[in-house]
Amino acid sequence: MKFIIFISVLLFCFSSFAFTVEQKIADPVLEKRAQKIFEDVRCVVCAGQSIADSDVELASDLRTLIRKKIESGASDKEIAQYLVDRYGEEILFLPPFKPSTIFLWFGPFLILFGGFMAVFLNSKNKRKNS
Amino acid sequence: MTRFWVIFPLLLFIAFTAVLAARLVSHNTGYFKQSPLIGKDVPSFSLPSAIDGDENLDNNEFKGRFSAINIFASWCISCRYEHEHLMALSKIIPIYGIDWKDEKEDLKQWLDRWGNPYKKIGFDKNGEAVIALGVTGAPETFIINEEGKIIFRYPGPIDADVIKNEIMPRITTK
Repeated sequence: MKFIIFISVLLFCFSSFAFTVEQKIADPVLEKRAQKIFEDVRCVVCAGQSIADSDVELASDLRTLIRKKIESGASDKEIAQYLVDRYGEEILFLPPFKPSTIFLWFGPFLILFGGFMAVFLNSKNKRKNS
Repeated sequence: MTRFWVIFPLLLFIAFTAVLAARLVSHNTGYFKQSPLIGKDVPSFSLPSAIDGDENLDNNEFKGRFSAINIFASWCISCRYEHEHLMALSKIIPIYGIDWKDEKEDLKQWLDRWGNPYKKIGFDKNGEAVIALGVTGAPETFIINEEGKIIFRYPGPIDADVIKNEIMPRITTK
């Protein structure tokens, strides 16, 4: 019993170090727009996360900056461009559609098509042989 | 011909994996390794001085001579490592410091203890200049040419090799 209590207490690690309260935009519509952008922006410290998920201070600063820009009337496109100008295209999760990214967009379909072709030709071949 | 089509997806897969693997282990690829600011003017920012009574630091400072911007903080351990090399570099070109998320008292102790390689230090509490420069962490160093354009960025602590092989060739006028 004591052991179980001990383990249950361990499960509640009361840590508030990582918890910071951020000033949200008063207008819920604008705040929602901000949240949407956060999900598309890559955290520059931990590249697998978006800044919506990251607790890193730099991510928090980026959120604050994006909120400020929205409040001052910047469009989503302008905000994305501001970030891309400074950090490069990899700051956005969605790669832009342009010649150098064609393979990135269509590569998987190409491979899938290749697989279908292989299966199709193979089975046709087998039927002919049998 | 049919046989080729059977192994084609496998070949494609191997080629695809090889490209990804090569990019993964390569030194120059990876997120945020290449700054889009190379060849551009220093982006606009304006910071109060980190040392009370000193002049502010803004982007109009960087014209007419080669200079460096160094993002650092007293809490940053690798900044301690690169500090002696900054002292050496400061004898060659002026270095402007951007003190990131620091406390003025801690900074003062740091400078008193290890020396001050900086011509001016901007105090960047909210990461304003840090984001404007596309910085991903401290330390980071930028080299600016006579026209005020960024010509080089080095993320991470600089050392004697970086100064000799990367910085010196770029700041010696041809």
